[in-house]
Amino acid sequence: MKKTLIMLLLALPLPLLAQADLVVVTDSNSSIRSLTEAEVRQLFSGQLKAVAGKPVQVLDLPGGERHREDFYRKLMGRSPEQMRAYWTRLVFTGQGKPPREVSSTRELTTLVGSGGYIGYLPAEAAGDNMRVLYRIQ
Amino acid sequence: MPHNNNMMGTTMRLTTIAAACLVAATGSAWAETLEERLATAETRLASLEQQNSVADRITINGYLRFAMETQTNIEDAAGNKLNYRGALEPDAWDNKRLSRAGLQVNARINDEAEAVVQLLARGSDDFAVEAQWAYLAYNVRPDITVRAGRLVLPFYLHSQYLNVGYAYPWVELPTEVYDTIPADTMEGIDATWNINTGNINHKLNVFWGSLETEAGGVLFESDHQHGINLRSTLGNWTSWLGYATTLISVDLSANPVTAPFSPDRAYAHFIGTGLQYDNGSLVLMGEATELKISAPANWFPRLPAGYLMAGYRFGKLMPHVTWAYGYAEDSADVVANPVAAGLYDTFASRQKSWTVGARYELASGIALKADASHYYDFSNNEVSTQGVFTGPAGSGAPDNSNPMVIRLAVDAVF
Repeated sequence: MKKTLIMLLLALPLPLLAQADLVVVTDSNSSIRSLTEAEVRQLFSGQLKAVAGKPVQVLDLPGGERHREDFYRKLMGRSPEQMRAYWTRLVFTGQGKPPREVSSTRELTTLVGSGGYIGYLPAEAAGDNMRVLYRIQ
Repeated sequence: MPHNNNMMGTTMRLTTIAAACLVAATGSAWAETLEERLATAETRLASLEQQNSVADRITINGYLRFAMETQTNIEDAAGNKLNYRGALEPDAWDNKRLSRAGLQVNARINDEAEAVVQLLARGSDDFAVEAQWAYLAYNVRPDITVRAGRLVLPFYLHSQYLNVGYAYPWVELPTEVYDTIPADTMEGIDATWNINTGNINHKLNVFWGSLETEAGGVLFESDHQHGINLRSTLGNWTSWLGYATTLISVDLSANPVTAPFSPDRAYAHFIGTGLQYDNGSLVLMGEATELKISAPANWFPRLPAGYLMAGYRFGKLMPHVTWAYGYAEDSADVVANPVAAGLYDTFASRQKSWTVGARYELASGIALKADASHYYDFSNNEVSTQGVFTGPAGSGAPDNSNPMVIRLAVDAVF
């Protein structure tokens, strides 16, 4: 009885936290096997432009997309406005360009599938032609 | 069954013949429309691809700021009216000095080369358009970029984007630090090496160039200006270390009295250090800088300056507070001569300030800001200055209890 109660209590917050996991993906033929959290951060803040000696291009979901906001909040603890200010500092000093913004999750999956791109999307949207490089819970 | 098969075969043959006749009859018309359609589709595809490649090759970004500022009634002990940087007046809003707009075009020439032009129109220059950046960048290796052309001086933590208000919390960057050198561009070459060591990202930059700027009513020519700086990022921390030296020439021969004190390729150095912490909510920043020109008779003061800033984000609102200082040192080193002492006084500026402000994120790309600065401590036992205030000849330091400047701005990037 006690055990069941504890189990129940533990299970209770789960539905509240059960937001979709976000996964960082590339095409399944890529030579990149996986990425560390630090590498993902550096990739999406423009500090890392190549992985394993190969140049990669990172993709952003459309501005205002809930998953995009989640991604940056969870990965870097930054709001969309803060990321905007961050990229402003790099853009106007010629030091970097923000990730290419796609118009939809479908465009992202198409581009990722074509090779050379790294993007993020909800785990359930990742297709067979993609490899999960990092998972954000 | 065989009969059936045969039947079907006959039907098929008949259909084929019928189709062949049809093609023969309308042949040319069909082929034309098909060809035409294909050609149209190909042209469309080509033009779409073209559009895509232009979009990939050229990017345009811009920034815009409207700012207004005013000051309280500020007087010296004798009752002379004083103005903040010679620009502001009490009971009147200046909408021009800090207002500006910039437009930047990045054009990729090939995989390694890029041309960048950033045009800036400043209210303080009557919105005359000038190039803030205009350079050719070349990636010698994926991690090394060499640039040549007009570059922004890499002297401070925020100097590379000092005109892009959206990039920092204040309306005006701490004047004690950011106005030590009254110039922000040079013509020259630089090389930046992007190094990743574990979780730390370093950007090591070396530069060489020259510039001309006016200060205190005279022209400063800076030649053979070179330096090195390092920006390092580790998680929420960013550090900045910079050192630059140059040869400064100033022609003071317009007045025979000051002529012998003209620096002729005099050695000068600038040191800049900075540290920033930003965990997404709490923002802490600090910088310390120093400028020294080895002028004849040591008439140019050593100018150390710095600031400390703290801010906290409550959702879209970030209140912040900043303490800044700018000192004029080494007055004892000035050779005993009234002209040298007079020159020293012209360039010596001492003050401290407290600034409280707030930044509000109206939308991604648009920020509203308000700052209020209080200035104090314009003299010590070595120097007696007006800080950044000016007044009629013979006027002194602000004397009333509350020399304050208030600034409001909207900053946007697009």
